[in-house]
Amino acid sequence: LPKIYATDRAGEVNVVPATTGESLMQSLRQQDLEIAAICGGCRSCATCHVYVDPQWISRTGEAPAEEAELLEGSVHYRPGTSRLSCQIVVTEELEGLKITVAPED
Amino acid sequence: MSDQPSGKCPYSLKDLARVNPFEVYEAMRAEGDVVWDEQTKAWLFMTAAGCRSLMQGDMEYLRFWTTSLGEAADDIQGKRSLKLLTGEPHHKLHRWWLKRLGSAELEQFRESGIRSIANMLIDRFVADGHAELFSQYAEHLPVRAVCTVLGLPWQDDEWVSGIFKTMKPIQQFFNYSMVGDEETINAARRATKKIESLLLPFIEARKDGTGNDLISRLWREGPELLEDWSVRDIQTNSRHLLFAGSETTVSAISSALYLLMTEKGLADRVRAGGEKALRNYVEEVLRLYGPVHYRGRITNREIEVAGTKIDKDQFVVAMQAAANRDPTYYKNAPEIDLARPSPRDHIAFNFGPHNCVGAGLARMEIQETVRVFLERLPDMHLDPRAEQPRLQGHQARNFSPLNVLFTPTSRSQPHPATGQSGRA
Repeated sequence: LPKIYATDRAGEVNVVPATTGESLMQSLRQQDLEIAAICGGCRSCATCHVYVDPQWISRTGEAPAEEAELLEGSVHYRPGTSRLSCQIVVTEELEGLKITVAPED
Repeated sequence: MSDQPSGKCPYSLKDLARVNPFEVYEAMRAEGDVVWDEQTKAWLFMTAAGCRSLMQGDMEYLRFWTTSLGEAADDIQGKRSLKLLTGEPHHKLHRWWLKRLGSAELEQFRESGIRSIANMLIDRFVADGHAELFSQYAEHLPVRAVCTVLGLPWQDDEWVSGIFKTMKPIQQFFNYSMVGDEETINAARRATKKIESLLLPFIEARKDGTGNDLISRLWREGPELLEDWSVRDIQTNSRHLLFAGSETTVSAISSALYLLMTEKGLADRVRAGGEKALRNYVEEVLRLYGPVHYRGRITNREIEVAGTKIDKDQFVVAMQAAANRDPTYYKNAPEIDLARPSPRDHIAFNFGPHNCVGAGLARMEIQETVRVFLERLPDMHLDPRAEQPRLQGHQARNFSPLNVLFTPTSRSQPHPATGQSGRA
């Protein structure tokens, strides 16, 4: 299982074993990282908002337009690194990915 | 063929009018994760996992139960509303509302809008030493908050009161019609027409679309959301926000105030815990006493959810107030825990593609209510000689009446205990 390094809202780094083929949101939720994900992962809310480490953004990709529209609604939106974790599919290539859970709105 | 119920559930949604339902929910869940309600002819999903699984498929294999009412649903909810649209048109409109009611745009209303309204309402009774908070506060704040973001005259008591009263039959419709009441449907249709007529002059006045209020923005940005965008769409969207953002938040505010007064030591703990405790308290109120107790749907096709096979065209109900107290999902589920991990992990604002677009606004209103009452009426308590609160309603529930006593203060003078004036 690829390991994801997820910094929570308290600033602690959590090592999250992620499942390939599933969304990053699903793995983060297993770890009680305050990811509400109230749309269930269908890109219809912004409650699974994370910041992707700038060094990894080329591998996850930046948020496409419709995803960015949701993220822009948050006062914590950071262009270029904000992503919905439900829209990042875990692959072997993401071994070591570093993300930070965005602050609560 | 739908699965046969494992046992006949001895309780029904129809039994729950005007009683405290939580013990019944526990008894229902003891019958199974998914139970058949013979009286209502509906499958009830009782667990946190089951409700999430069910609502995840909303729009794909579920539709609103109101669609069984035909034209009445179109009239009351609006054919092109967030409720009844499906597919990409729904997603587009839903995204628009989420962004417009997201924190980036809403935070500007927290102090100058919501907190000011809260203080204005409290000013009206703070010198009296007593009040009935449901009718003198809770019922007044949410409708004004929505008016603020829509650019409607929230300071005009007469107009706001007219809108709120006109919405009552629609509230009754959503509260009771699923459990059977024909007259409420016709009353709600009439009320919908009246609200649209009350809104129309304000909508027409913003036709140039140059303002920053949401009605102006619906004029300006609406044509990119749906084809053939018209004034009717703006009426539908405006009244939808007014309605959806009013009664539910009224109920949540009443629960937040009620619990502060009745849970021993809670007010002190919230006060001592600072901003994080205040915000977590609001989430616990929503989890334990979220205003919408259940949401009904009809299956578009045969489904298998939470281990239960259900035929096409069956009523299914996500019992969210029960799910939010599911002991297999929440540790110490019935307790208010200000340090609960992932405090927003509840489904008070629904789950799936129809999640509530006004959640951020509702949270802000409850948070500011708790903040302002803790500051300005720190010794507020229920009046033991007056009628006591009960959890009233059916689909949406509130604690009322809320007859309270407190040390009277002047509108402008600092409170003797806190030293704060309460002014925003």
